[in-house]
Amino acid sequence: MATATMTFGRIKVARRFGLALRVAVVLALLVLAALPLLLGGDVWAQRISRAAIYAIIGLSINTLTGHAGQISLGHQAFVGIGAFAAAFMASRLGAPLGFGLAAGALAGMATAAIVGMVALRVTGLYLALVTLAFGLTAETTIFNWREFTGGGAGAFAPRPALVSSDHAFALLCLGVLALVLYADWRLVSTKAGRALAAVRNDERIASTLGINVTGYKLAAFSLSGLAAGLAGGLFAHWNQVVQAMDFEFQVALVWVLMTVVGGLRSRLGVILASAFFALLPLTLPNFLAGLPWQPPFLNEAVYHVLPPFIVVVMLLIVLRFFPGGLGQLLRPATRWLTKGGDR
Amino acid sequence: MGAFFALGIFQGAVYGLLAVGIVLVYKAKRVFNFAQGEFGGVAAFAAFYLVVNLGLPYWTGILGGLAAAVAMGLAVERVIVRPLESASRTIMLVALVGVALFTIAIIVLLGQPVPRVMPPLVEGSGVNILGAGILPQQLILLAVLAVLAAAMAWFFKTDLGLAVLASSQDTRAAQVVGISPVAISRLVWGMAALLGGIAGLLYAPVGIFTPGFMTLTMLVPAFAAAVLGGMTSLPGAFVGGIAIGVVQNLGIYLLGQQLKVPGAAELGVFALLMLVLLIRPQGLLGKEA
Amino acid sequence: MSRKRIAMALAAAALLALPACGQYDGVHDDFVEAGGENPGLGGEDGTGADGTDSSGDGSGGGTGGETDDGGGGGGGGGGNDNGNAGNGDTTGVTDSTITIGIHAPLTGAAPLRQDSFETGKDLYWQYGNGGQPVEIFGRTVETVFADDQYRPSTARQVCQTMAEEQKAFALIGAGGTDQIQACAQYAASEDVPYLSTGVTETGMGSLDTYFAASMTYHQQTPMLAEYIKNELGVTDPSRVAAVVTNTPNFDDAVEGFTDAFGDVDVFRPDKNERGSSAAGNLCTGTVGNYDAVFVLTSPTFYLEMAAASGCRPQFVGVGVSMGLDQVASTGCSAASSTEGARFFNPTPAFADAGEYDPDFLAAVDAAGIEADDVTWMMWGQSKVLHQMLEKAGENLDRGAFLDAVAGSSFSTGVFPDLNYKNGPFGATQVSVLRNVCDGGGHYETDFAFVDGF
Repeated sequence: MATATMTFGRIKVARRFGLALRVAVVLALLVLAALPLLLGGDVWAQRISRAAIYAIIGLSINTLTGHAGQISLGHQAFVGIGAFAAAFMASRLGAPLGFGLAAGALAGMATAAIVGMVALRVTGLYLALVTLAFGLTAETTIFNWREFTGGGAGAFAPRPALVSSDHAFALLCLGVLALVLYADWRLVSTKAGRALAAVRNDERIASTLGINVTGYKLAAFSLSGLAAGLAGGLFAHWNQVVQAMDFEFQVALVWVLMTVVGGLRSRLGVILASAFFALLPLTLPNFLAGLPWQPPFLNEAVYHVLPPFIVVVMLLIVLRFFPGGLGQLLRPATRWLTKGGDR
Repeated sequence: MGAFFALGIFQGAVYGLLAVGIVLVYKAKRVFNFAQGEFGGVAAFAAFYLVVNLGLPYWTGILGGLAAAVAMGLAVERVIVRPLESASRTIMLVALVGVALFTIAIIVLLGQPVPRVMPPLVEGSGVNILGAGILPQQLILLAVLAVLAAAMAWFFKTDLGLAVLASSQDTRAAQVVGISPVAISRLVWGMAALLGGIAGLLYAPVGIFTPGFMTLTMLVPAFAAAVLGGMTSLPGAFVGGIAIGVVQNLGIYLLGQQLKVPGAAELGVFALLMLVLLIRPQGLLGKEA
Repeated sequence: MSRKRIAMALAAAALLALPACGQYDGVHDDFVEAGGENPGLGGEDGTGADGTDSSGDGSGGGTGGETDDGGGGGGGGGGNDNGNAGNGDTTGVTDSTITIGIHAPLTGAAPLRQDSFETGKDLYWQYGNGGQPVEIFGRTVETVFADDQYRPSTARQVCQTMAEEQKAFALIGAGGTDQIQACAQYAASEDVPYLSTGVTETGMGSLDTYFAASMTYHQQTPMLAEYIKNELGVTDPSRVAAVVTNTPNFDDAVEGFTDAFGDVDVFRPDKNERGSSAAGNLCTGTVGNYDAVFVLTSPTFYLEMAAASGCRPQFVGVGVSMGLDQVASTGCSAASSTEGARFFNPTPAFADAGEYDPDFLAAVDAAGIEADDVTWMMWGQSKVLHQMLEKAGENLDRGAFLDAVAGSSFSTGVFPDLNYKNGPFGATQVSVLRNVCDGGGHYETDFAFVDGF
């Protein structure tokens, strides 16, 4: 009896200790991630904002491709619409930031819903093609519509006073990211998530199970567009100027690649990969140029064209050797951290 | 107006040439080959290096360019396509997008991302067709497209072509009767790369070319052309290419310059693509969707 | 479930609307006029205008904003004590060095050669003093460089990185109108001195840290119209076309041109359009529709258009990147499609560099590099900046620099003579370059430093 109690107690202690350790590790990681924001000055605050915006975009693509199994190679259209809508609200109508972001989110959602309707008729590879062509058209037609986007000079999106400092804006971006993350988590852990999984695996079987395939597909597109538009709104205010060339179709391709590298349906993987892809072009050139040893055949300027190269190499490695992406690599760690948790 | 019509036909010929390669891969492997354009990009840059940088005769440039394209095709087949054979078509598509971007990145890293000019196959000033000045190079391009589309259509009537189709429809059954899926895969990607290389070599001397010139502006219209033609039809790729080219250039003239709609060329392509997919998914000449 | 989601969305919307509470009236108008002033961003602002802005914003009740403003006010106060002599902002200045940031497109639609840039950006500072490094009151000059990818938002981004992280004292824009505008607006919001070749005037005139080192497009285009009439002998407006990229920043250029010339045909292709699509307008078969075609686009667009044209129109234009020899040589190798094109340029042609500044050739020799016109352009711009830094005196800070440059005049013999008495657009001269295909495509000087035709 006594031994039993003791064992029980020890398990409890070990469990408590394990929990405390896990919480400590998570906290330590969060603090580590927050360090650049605290110590890095405005430049790093801007980079954190960009990483958060990319993470929202990654989660948006994850909703569509990861959860619902629908591909979109034209995601820059949704993000861009959101960005220009927010910029329009801010610079032309003088509306407060919240309305601008809401307008961006709604515009992204509406656009995505329209594309979603097409996706009801057109599936698979053809959908990929349609979204690609749509993104291209959005870039050249809608985003070059001068009255709306300012044409080649771009649209200005001034920040309101409260978030005018780069630090405050970074906090706003992180806050929105947290919201989107929460929404994604709620989505997956409810009936809707299971229904989306069924639609993803086999639409015909899903409909025999009484799942409204049409409705869920449209919902997935709308939700993804909502997040993308929101990210676009933040993107507009991030640099305070947006232009059609920011939403070239290569950008959408890179976003899809980054989500795949992160690992579809792995929130942590997607966020980490998105942040990495967001920061690489901003930090790599200066980092490499500052190294004491320089490869003789490469001049400093080459570093500026290196990031896209690295991005693609990572994708090819991921697809070839661990198709689950970064999420798959991180799974042992995340499993340990959430052991006994909700998953 | 007439000038834009003529420009459209010859612009469309390039789309057709790319579409022939896209159709070939789709017929044989049920894959959307987003790397098709970069086969041409590699061929053009290799030929430019040989002809302009090293000053070698033009035919070595052509041979070298095509060899580079085929080598790339076989490498893509070995490194990317075959290992991902069992993955979903979407993953394969993402991987091929990656291949295209990778190739562009390599070209940018090795050469400068500056505009280049490849000397044409045949020198000479343009001829007046419907008010447009058309270069001899563009006439050759259209002729080559017609020949290649016909040759590919014929290829699928030969024993080898039938073997490719058989392997595509039921790999295991085809293997039983002695058709090696690996050999077929190599053959298809090698041929696709050759077609892409020809497209790149013929199109690079028309105007100027920059890294990614075959992918960034040509690939989407080429896919639209393939879809318009029915995705599995080689004559369809020919007709579709020219139709897309004409629609694009008339779009520029009517929508863009008369009505001041921005991005008229892309808008035209997208509208046509949607129209085909929603109203006649089997395309103009396709047998099945 | 759906009700829950709606509730969540409402909560989210409410959260998003919250930041708007701290906003005061008119911020947008102010922003647009001032070109992106950031009132809440303290630290480096020392001017009175910013002080008043920040105090107005405190009433909004935003905690984050208040903290920032407090910091800003304190920092600014210290600077203002110096009066006109400076604002105490010595970012990028040490006892022995001054750091300068340069942005230019290495990728995108108007790429410059990486290696020319690499050698060009430091040539003047390392060898400009008779083969020795240039010293300004005992300080040498170091450069940092970033690729703006021919995109305004990237330009703004890299300018912030250079000015704040890499501690550049001043920024230089080497080319690309929209990028220069975006960076200039950032620079003005942070009181960073910014020097670029002359581009648009839209939104630039009110920026108090901006200086154009050559004539703006708005100033150049009436001259170009005179040039076409008097030098090329084309006086019929119906025989003249303008192909100008569809950006609002070129509206002043088009306006200047049409006002001076009359009713010419204007084509406005989009920034990401391909040049071949514009070619159908210029020719009927192999016969040109126009006697003179004014191009103001990216070089890639211009080259594509020229190469795809069945005829050989007489191209003329203004701007910086069009005058690069690389453009001439590419155009010439495409069946001499750009032969005879004339472009207004800040500097005389690189081929005649020795005639206008022998020091340049000496420096190139001393450095042992292969110079080209990018090097030559950077040389000229660096020389302008050098004179400006000299003028600012020994106690260099950003405020002292801006005060010293405003209202002063400079003469380099490479860039046009500059006089900033009446604002930031201080140049009145251009040089005219002619594209010659003989012996490899390049430009030659037709006119140097003229102020009218």
